[in-house]
Amino acid sequence: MKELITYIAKALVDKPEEVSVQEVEGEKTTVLELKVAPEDLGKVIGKQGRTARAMRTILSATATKLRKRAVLEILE
Amino acid sequence: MDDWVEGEGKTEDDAVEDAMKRLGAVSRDNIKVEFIGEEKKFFGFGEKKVKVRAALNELPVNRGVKKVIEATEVLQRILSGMKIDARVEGDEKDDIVHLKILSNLGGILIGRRGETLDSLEHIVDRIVNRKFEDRVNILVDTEDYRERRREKLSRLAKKLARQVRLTGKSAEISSMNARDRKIIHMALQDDSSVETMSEGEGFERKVVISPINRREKTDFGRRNKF
Repeated sequence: MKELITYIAKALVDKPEEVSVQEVEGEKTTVLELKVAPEDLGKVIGKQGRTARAMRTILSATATKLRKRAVLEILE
Repeated sequence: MDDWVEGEGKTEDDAVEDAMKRLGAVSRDNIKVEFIGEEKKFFGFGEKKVKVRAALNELPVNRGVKKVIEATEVLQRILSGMKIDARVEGDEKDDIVHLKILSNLGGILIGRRGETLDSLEHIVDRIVNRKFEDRVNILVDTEDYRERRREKLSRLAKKLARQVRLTGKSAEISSMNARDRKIIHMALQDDSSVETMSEGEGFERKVVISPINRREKTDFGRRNKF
């Protein structure tokens, strides 16, 4: 799941070298913390949060398939 | 990506012609030109020198193929990131890139009301259209979901229109995205007994199907429109 978010985020932004994803494993839920360059924040969030929502939906679908729960946090 | 050359001449046309020679272009339509500037020689006889830069246009065919290849690759990589065993078939028609996912996990890929499919489409669109100057529309589908959804919603629209016609009361369909709303509007556009309108904002936006009161009908229908 970390690779998935890393790939998508890097492909979306202008500064892929500043993309980092931390996977924080909880008992039931995995939290993925995404960090990007400040000027790329808009690219991963999108208009009205559409891009962020799309990433979350794709992440949930993946988690469902792996019988897990995962949430995406975009850090500012 | 493009190889630019500079051209010079007394007029802009001369400069463009010079650039064309350097590029080996046979027609003005095959190149794109940017004006750089002109130099005036004050001590000459009012002579000036115009400079332009030019590059060959990419052939439209190549551009389409390149987009299909990139879009297919992007979607394929996302799917493998999702640990989904799938193959993507890409095709381009009328500036729309169609991506078809072949897998045995349609349910997961489609999601609730096509939510996952729409998300994949949006992400591929953002990535592919970030790199290219001219936008291309991306359509992601699996197991003919798009067509099945269109048929299902069209049937629903017609059923509701019948109900609206009979009762004279409006009906609404909520929780739909822009694509679904469009299907409803299109399904009823030739129906002169009802009209459709989208109301509300953002995720709350819904389609309302209302009766059009015609004189011969208002005789027995309730006149609640007035």
